[in-house]
Amino acid sequence: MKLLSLKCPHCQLDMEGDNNSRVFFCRSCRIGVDFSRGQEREFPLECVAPEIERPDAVRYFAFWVFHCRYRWDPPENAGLDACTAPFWVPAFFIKNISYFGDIGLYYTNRGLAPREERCRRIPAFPADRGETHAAVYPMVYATSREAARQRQVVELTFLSTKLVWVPFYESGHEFVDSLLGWTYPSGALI
Amino acid sequence: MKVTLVNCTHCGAPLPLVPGQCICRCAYCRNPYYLDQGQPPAVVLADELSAQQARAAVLAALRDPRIEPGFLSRTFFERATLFYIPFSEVRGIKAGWAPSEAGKGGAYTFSHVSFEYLEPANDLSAISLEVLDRNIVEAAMLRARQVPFRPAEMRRRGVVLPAAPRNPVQTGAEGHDIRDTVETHLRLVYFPIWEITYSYRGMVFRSYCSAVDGAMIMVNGLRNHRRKLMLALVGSFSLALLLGRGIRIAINLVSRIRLGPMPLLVAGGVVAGAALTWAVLYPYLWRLFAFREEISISGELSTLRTISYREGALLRFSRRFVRRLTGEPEEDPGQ
Repeated sequence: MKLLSLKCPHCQLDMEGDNNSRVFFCRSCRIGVDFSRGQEREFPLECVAPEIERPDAVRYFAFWVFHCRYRWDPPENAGLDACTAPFWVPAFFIKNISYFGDIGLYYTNRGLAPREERCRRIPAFPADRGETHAAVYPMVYATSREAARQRQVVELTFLSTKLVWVPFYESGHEFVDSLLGWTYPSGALI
Repeated sequence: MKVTLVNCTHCGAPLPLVPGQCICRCAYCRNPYYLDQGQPPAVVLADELSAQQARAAVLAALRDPRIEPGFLSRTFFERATLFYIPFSEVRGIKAGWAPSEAGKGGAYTFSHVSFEYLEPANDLSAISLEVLDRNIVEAAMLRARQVPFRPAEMRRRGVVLPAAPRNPVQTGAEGHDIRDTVETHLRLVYFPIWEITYSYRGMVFRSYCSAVDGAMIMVNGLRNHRRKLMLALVGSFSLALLLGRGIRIAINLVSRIRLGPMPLLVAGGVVAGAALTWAVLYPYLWRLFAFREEISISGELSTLRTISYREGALLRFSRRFVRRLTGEPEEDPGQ
């Protein structure tokens, strides 16, 4: 049984999170600390500006963004066999993902590059998916993406990892994504 | 029982540890801590229904035609108890490199499969509920607000059933397909239900409804015996006719044979034996003609509602996703 302090290692303020959180955040230092491996691991945190404005209440949802380089086989005609891409993986779980879809996969496939802004004073949704869990998905996403092009991913390298807060709107019993405008029932994002 | 004491690293005061709670704050120096106890995180579905609303939902359900019509008017509501029932929610993904079918010389391909299931983390023997429909819980989970697990507050509001979650981590090879469980997530979900206790002419009944959306889980009452009573009356009348006819024939026979009082004594013995048999079997035959037979309705009441909600929700959201993916315009709600 390990006891870890929830004070920010830089500014000594209390970090944000709740009982289910595995990743805790410090807004002032813009860092996220992952406790899922039983030790503190620090990652940079960014906040993105919403693309869609709505009058509803807003909450930040955390995503892991992995910048990865991967190679595929067979190479293209021009001899190209590798690329670098950001992979968005939700730092929360999605219930019935086959019904409601994986929003991280959609962000990844659309190649989102949202505008960054300063962190707003809005509550954050608990992030209970640690970096170790989330790091599986770049390979899964790359495999599914390249399988559509009749190619196989043979190697994937992680270049950098960061946490990104995306605003979501709470509309009744639904959460609405502020980047794509997609809707999820409130219990599906957990 | 294992008791563990953990002290604050700043001031040395004992920390207020509650099973299932991962974060705590020192009561003296107010320092926050994350405690990795190796227990699964827990979440609670918010109970939106008050006891009065739950009682109203049970009252509405007791108007079911299968329940005795006079049952509702003579029912006395005794108490309403909130129960938090734990469910283990397991999600994960099995992924890994496996030898490709067409590959030669050690070629491997990456494959993955995700899984998700929900199972009760308690056998429900503490309450008079044999089975809890999983569809009700899943529908409630999609709809409900989720609030953090605060055991002390929950115990003030109701009864928290203990959870015995299974460890879902299974890593290993499966035949020739070498895939490891690389991500497994276990979470306890506490589902609040109302137990409404009421009595009718000295008999105590309990009904259960979801405290999230008021969906009825089980309704208990007395069976509506009007039809059965009519059948019993017609049957008794027919039996009386046959019996009367039989007795008349027997008297005729006895008067013709003229064997003296012996046959009458035998007939009297047979009737006495039948009466004795009826008296002995009465507790068992009681149920056939009794007005106070209990009925437990759990299937039609709950499942129909749950399926209709689930189907509607899933269809609506899957249509939206398909439209977004294909770029089709949204349907005009006025059409």
